Amino acid sequence: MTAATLPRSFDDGVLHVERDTARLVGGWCPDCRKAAFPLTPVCPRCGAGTRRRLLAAHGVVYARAIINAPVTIYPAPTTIVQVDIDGVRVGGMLRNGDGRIGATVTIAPLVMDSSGEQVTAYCFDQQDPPDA
Amino acid sequence: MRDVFVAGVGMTKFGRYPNLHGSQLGAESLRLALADAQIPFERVQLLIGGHVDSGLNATLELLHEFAWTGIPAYTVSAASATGSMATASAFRAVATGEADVVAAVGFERMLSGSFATMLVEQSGVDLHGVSGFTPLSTFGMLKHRRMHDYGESDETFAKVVVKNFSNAARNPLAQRQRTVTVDEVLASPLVADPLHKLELCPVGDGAATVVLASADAVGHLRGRAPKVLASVMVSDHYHPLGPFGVDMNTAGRAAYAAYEQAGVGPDDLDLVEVHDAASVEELIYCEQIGLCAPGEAGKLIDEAATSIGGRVAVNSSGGLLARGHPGGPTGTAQIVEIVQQLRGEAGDRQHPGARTGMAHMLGGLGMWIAHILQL
Repeated sequence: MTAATLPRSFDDGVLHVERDTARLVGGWCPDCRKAAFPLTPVCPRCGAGTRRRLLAAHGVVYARAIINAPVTIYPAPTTIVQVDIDGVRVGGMLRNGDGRIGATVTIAPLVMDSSGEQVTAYCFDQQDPPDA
Repeated sequence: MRDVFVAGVGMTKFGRYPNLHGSQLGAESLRLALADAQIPFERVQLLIGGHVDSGLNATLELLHEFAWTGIPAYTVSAASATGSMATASAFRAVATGEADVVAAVGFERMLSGSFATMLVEQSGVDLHGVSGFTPLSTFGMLKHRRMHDYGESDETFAKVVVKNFSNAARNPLAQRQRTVTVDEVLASPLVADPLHKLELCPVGDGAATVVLASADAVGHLRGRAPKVLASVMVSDHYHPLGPFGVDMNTAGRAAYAAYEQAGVGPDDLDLVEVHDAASVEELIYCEQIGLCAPGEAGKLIDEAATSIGGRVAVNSSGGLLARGHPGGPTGTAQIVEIVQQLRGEAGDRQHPGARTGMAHMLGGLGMWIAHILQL
């Protein structure tokens, strides 16, 4: 499950960061009236041209897994979530919270080391309290 | 389009073969399949190798294990569905009249470590790496969501593992040849909570060959060659996960396209082989293929309806979970299992009255391949 066609760098316009907030940069198709992520030159649904659009700053957890093995770029244990934002489903690391389905999360900038260079990526912070 | 038949099948035991090349494993399975088909290598008009990572020249090396007959020999690759794609390519060559006898050889000698680990090593701080999507996290999230949507218990998922290990324990070619209990599955480490280690397939090596042929070329087999009723390949349409994941609904689209081509329906199936790299997948595919309604697959497991001897045997080979999943040969191994079952040659794991079977496979980020065989 590799995704070699994805942008290699976050400088390619994947993420819009302002101070301590972050928004994912998606595409908007005026014909389908739907968003897609990441931004691509054409709409992946219909092939029409797309417009750049920032996805919402908030999303809702669709599913989560707590990873206890060294199979992601994050030290284990780590929680990976799928988050629904504006009709697209985006993966990322949940920095705090239990990742319960339906919880509201915000997207936040996350500075990471990439072969000695600092890259500003993203993660999710849960806004709703964990289940009791 | 001409009718296409399975003339013969052959397979090595799945396991670890650190001292062999993938092409050598492939050659062994091809020898077995040709002997099974009672067809000499010189009559093979096209050789299709299926491997993920066995080297640039692996299919030619495989050819050179036999005779340099000058036939076309090429490689197809579709992650887990590689062997399925080799079979589908062979089907098309026979159906269109390009060749009368075609060998589809799936083979692999995996490197050390697991696919999951290899993928993360390739992934830096790019969008894919940051997303956290790997096979392991994806399967864990699929299970988490199913437990939420349908209230399925951990025990239900563990029963899938128990069933497939039990089937593999009766399959001399399987990688994992032991039984496990629900308690053992649930006591294994939570690698991707809620997914346990024993709910995941092993890493291994091996090879499996399917020789497909026209009606004229299987006359000598006197009704022992199952007919390929359907061969379907589709990929995902755009879906919310986009380039990060797979649209599990396409599993159903592939299956129902195969039913239409074959003129049969889910109720006609006696056997089904699916891509159970993780326990949760088998439940999803049972529903997508139409063996039951959405949310009902847990009940199938609880009632043993998908066990050998049940209504429809799912993964009678042991599936990816226990027969094994070397990559290249996994799809052809599915066909091997169905052919052995249809011929009544499955020994201790024979499903009674097996007449029609489906091999259904997912490859990588949303390539789906389905075959229906009947004897």
